[in-house]
Amino acid sequence: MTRREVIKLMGSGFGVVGLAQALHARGGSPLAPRAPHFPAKAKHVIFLYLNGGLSHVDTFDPKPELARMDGQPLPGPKIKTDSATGGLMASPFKFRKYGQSGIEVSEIFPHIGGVIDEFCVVRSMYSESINHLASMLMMNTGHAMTGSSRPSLGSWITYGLGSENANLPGYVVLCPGHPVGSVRLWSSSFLPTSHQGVHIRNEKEDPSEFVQDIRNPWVTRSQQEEQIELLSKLNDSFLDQIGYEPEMEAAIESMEVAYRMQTELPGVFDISTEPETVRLRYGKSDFGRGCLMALRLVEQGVRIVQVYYGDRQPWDSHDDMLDHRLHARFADAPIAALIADLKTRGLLDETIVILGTEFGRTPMIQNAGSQRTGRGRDHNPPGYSILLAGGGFKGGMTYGATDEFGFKAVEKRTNPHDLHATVLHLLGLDHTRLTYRYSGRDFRLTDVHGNVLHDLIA
Amino acid sequence: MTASLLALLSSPVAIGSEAADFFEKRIRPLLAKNCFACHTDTQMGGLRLDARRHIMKGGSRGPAIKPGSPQDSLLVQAVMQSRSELKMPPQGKLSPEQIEDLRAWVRDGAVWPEAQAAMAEPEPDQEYVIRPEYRRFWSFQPIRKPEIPSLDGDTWSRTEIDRFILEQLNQQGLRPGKRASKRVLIRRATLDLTGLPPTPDEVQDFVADSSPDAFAKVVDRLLDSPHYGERWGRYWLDLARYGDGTSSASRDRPYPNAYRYRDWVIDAFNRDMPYDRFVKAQLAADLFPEEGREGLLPALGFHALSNHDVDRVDVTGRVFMGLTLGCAECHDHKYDPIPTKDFYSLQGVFSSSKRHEYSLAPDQVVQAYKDARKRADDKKIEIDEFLKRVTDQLIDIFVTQTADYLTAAWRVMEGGEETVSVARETSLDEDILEKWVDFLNETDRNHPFLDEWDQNRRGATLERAREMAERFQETLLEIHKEKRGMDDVNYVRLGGAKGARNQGNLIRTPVEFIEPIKYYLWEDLAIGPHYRAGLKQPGGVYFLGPDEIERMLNPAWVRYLHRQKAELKALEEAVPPLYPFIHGYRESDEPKDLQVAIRGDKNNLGPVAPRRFLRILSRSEPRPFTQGSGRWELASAIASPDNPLTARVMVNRIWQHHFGRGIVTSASNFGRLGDRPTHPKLLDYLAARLVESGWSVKSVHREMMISAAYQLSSRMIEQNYEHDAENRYYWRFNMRKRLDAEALRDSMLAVAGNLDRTQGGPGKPLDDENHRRAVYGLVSRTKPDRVLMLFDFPDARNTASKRSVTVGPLQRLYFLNSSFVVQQAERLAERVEKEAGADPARRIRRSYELLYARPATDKEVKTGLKFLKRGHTSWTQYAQMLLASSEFTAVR
Repeated sequence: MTRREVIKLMGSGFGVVGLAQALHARGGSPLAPRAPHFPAKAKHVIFLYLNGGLSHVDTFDPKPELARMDGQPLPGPKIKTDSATGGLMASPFKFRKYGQSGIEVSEIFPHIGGVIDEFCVVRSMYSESINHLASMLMMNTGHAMTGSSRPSLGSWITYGLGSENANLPGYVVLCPGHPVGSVRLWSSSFLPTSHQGVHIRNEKEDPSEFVQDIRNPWVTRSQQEEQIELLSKLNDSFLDQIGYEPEMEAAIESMEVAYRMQTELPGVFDISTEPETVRLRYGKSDFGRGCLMALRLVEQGVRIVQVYYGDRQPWDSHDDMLDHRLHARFADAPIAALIADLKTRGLLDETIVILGTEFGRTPMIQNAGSQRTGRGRDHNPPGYSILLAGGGFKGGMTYGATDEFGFKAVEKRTNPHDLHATVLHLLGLDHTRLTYRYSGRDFRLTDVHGNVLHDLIA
Repeated sequence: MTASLLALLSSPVAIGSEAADFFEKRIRPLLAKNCFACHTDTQMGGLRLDARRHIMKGGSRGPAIKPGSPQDSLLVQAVMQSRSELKMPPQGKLSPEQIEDLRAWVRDGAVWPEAQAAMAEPEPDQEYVIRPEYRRFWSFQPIRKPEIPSLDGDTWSRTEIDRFILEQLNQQGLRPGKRASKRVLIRRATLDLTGLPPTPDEVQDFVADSSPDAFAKVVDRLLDSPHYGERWGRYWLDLARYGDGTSSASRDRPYPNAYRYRDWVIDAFNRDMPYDRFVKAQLAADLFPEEGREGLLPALGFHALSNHDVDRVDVTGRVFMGLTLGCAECHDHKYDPIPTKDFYSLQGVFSSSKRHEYSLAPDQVVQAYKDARKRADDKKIEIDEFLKRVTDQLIDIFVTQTADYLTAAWRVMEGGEETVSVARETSLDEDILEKWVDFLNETDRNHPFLDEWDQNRRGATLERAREMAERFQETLLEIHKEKRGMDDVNYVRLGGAKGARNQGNLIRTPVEFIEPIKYYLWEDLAIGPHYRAGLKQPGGVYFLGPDEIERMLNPAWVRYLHRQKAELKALEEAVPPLYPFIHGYRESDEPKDLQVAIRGDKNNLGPVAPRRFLRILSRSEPRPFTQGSGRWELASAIASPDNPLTARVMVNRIWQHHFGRGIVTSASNFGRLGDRPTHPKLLDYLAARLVESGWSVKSVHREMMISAAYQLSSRMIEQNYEHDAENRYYWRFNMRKRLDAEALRDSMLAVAGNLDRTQGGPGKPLDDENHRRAVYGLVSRTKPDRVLMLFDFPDARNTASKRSVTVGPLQRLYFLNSSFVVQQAERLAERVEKEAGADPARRIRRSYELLYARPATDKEVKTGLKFLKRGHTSWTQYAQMLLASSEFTAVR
């Protein structure tokens, strides 16, 4: 961007951003806030990700037909699945109606049931790839090719909007360990690297260990202040030599930001400053702590926070559906607590909460690959559920449907591109206009796909 | 009535021959040459310009012309380039005469003789035709060395390059700035060619050399430095998406010999391998005639080390020819004349080749490795199977002792006795008894078989406990029998031991299960430690690990097991290091053509695409390749002086790295969606020079760097900035606001006197102890190096033609706090003490020479002294800030 362009942008309603920050955006901080394409309903995103493949037929998409036809084959031609599968299997869990909306939720998620009126349950998600990596890339980057890479949803969002707090990263990813695909899931790919998600391993206890190089153990605070003062003199002398050079000036400013970041950043992750009554509701699991950190990060103006449930693929219940209950014990309460606290703190209206996964699980049992109980389910990309709340989404509704067995999305079929388009829309971004030129062509998150789901928007 | 209104009233059919002549002679050729490439079939901006009705209909902005009213016609406004958002044609402004012709044509009613106007609309199922106007697109035109502009009163130009630059500066009314100072220049050139700062001696020599070719001598010296290849080879590795392994779900599958390709690239640059040979080798080194092939095979790593085989056609297109061939995989390229069939013609070439390890060791060495590896693996299986048999037997035995264990556990839990004494008295295993007690103390079970026990053990008598234990044992024995029976059935179903070890077979073979609650009980007792749903579970009560198990075995068995383990250890030690090999390709046994996959769908196959070269780059219908896969013929067609793209793309890449922006800014896309050259003649001149020089890349570097344009100061000139803020015309040198990741790290090591200049060899992670140049660091695709990424190292899964340059607070934290920077600062402080002695002022001056290639001013010395005098600040802290300063990290 040239100086003239910056001045022009400001003249054309660049918004509240002042000159310093506009210049900042050019050199110092690529994350300075930018105006959306049109007025936005939401400002932040919290993407809770139950990695491994959450079974929709055991959680948010009840199928009585499975109980009726337990053990019998899925009608129709034999379906090709990742592993060998057998007959249909009834859910081991009971469903119950919750809230005013009366949406049915599995017994393993009673707390989520308690806030179900805040959620829109999309029951007609589908994607194409049978394996975790490709499906996770699709959900996170809108691109299922495992050989190349594309920028992630979060990267596109900070590329489009910047972030509100210059002292914190715009896109934070919390995961104890690494989900399948790891850095590719939050990669900025060909976008500038400053839009890459900052991965924080939230299983650690000491917040100062979360961010690399956040402390310098070899100097005292006052020594470092003197260093900063010296540095600014060195840089001034350089600026004198090179003459007027706004880009360099802006680049130099970022040192001040870094200095402030040192103090601010560990504090945000330090959940011990929350009252015990708050902490208790999130539980002691990594995921629970992650949910609470997400709340605090959004409060501080971070644009998008992703919280992965756990290392590798915990929800991948191939050999026993009861494993879902095990994990639900750690996931249920914090999700509900997060929704409630966002609401109390007045943030839910402007924060999109996505409870997502890469695919559902087959209505059929999986009868290979382990010799445990044989009561698990295989991957099911043709139909699955995700939940959406806040940030302009309607609550207390379901959207779309799978067939009577939950195998395939049949009504109001929705794919990750539609989800991405809708999330961008609520953030005030037109998914067809949010483009980046790479290797001579304009790329976008939704490629040539994506429909904004207006039915879901309040 | 004006002439234009008259013209407007005249129907386009009833035209005078004069107007028709004017159209055919002046307007149609002008449109065809400048506009048809984008505004016929491809309809960029929704606009076609090949018929009057299309022009009248216009594109997304509305009708392109208003006949009779040139000032209101978008087409005229576009070519006049009076509106900033609408400037056509993108490759440059039409001449004033051409613009006047267009204005006149519109003013006079935009006469278009219909009889000749129609260009065939494409028929749906028609074979793709390369139309003549497609060939007129600038980058498909043959390279012709242009005439060197001669400019009156030109005292600025030093080389031919400068005359092209100055010609356009003059046209734009821009004046080039001053020459950079010698110190700035040598720092710029040294970082540019080697990625390292100049030493104070090198700076001094250059400053002292007043001969006219002093700078040329510097350039030659730098081009001869082995560090040149390390710098420029790395740019190539960006393009080649080089990585030391393929990314899988959570870690790389390593390519242990990938570095041989990296080293080959570095060496090729250092030896100034002719670029055509460099290209050919990377596509078809294995097909060179035997005597000319020496040392070329590692070049095959270009594709053999990719993350995935699917991108070979696309990367070949982008990297060597600036063509986005990947866009034609599912449909004809929307903007460039590349039909889908051409994509599959090339895909057929690659799919007729297969990955191959070229061993660098004698056959017997390879065989010895494989044999030794197999012996160790077999031994491991033998031991595992023995342990499994023993474990199974022990569990069979323990299950029959369950009532005893349970009763003993009751005595501990309810009778308050010591585990040790109960175990001794009953001759039970103490550890197992302890596990039982722990297990029974937890009552969160997912089966009902211990319900009776859990509810009644408290307050029961020993006899009652014994009864319950007996009953439980009976149940367990039954379940155990059922489980063992099921395991046997499944074992057979899976195909025995071998089948049970094969992961693919495992997940695809349906097996039988016992009832889940029974399984849970069995799991509690008999399964080894395992992950359940991602959570670590301890082993069952009766499960003994490979070390624990020995205490249950009699001495003969223990001796056997020990001997087996000792043998395994010896066999593992006897495995020689993995023999060296090259990751490459070779011809497949039966090369064959592919069918077009319609819309990219492999289940919907269309016509056969014969293996042959791209149609747009062939004069007539290309002839099918006849030699094997056709890779050699493909490589030859790319690395040919007749290929209009290859040389242009390469010189543009070199230019981009020297001048901070390409003549074509989309360096890997020379198609219609790419950018047009800012200096088309200069680009062709350079391309012609590359070919002329025998494809010598070094000669191109040299010619670029000794130009006046390269040696310009980077200082701002306000008047020029107002007109050309982006410096598209090179009135000053484009300052780099930050060194790239590798140069940054290497430079810190270099000035600290800490750089290990060893060349080549396997990649190692770039931790604090690794002091080699970053190009020799391990490049992981799954977990890329954090610091390199922080400074915009590209994603090694995609080809990258330029680095983005971001500057952000996380980078600053690295300078403020990282152990690496602090370590280099420490070394630097020690170095200046050694070199400049005790006097602090002299040390400061030495630091400035080392880092900034200039003497410190008195004021700067004073600032430094003041900082150091504070008492509680150290030299290390001072040196650290010198390293963090923009003067060190920027290039001007």
